[in-house]
Amino acid sequence: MGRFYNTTKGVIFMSIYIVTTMVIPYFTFTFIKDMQLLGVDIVLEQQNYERIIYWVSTFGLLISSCAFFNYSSPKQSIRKGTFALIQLILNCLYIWSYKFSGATEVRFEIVVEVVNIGFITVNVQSMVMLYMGTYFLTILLKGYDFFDYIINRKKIREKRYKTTIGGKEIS
Amino acid sequence: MNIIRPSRVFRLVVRLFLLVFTLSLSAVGFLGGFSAVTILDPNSYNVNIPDGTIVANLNITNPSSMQIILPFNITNAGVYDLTDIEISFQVSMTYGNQLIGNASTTVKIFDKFQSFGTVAHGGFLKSSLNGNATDGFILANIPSVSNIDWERTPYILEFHANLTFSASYSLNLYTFTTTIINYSIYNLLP
Repeated sequence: MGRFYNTTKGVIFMSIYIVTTMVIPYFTFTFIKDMQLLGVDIVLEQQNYERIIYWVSTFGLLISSCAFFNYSSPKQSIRKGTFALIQLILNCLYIWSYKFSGATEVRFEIVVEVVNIGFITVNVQSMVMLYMGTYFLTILLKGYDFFDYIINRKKIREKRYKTTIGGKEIS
Repeated sequence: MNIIRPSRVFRLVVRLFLLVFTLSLSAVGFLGGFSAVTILDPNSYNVNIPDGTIVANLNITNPSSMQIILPFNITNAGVYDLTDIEISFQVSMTYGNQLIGNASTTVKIFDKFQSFGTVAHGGFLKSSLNGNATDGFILANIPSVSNIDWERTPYILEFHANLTFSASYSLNLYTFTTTIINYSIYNLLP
């Protein structure tokens, strides 16, 4: 696989991560910021909104840049394993940022004729914790990968260089 | 021939398990969100609190006869059970307190919390939150008739209610709470 292929792969995955970790959450929270239910305005508290967007963008950027280095690295290389592990830990912090930024307990004000008459709270903390569980398993897997790449480095290198003869792939 | 190392096979199996697990979780989350929107659809009137007229006897001159009946109707049109349904209702009263120079004083006269369990998907719950002098009303907080400023304007007595409705949805992954605060329910004119 050439350098150009790996770089393109890195750019594609970076774009995917930008969309999933930054663009979609941004538009989702912007969309739910001002809603109408039964003719009543339901408004996401401004301070909450800004805090959520800040943390989502911060970790989104870090994850996306890590995704570039992860996916542009050669298969089964230590570089790939290292970036994959860093990316995963950042992913955990990203998910966790939903909790500490207040996004897991979103509070909407119910406004009738400019007067706040109450609020609606949606708590998705259990959902986030469950995702954290799957991320924990994925971290174990990436850790396993990392050590596998180190322990079986010789075999991986032999296999990698055996596949090309005269610049053409045989497998 | 390309032989896959056993460590890679183990990795593949764990990865497949994780993929299935994450996809199931995402599907449950997506369906739950979609379903919650179905329940809260403004045109469907699935959650009606109150469902009809609130019966309220707030005659503080005869505290033992005081009574509140808050009817409600919850229809679960979603795909998951609606669990841990809880409703709490509080009523506060504002009056002119003669003991402190007719200053406006607010006291909580009613506080009731009730759990209604689970409404299975496709089912409905038609019930009411009931309170009377011995259950819900805080008689100790109700002022003596002689301590009330009966000349107070614009109202002698003002009654405001706080209503909280909470429930869990989508295998308890979502919990939502709706709170209405300081909703004027009755004002006694001079």
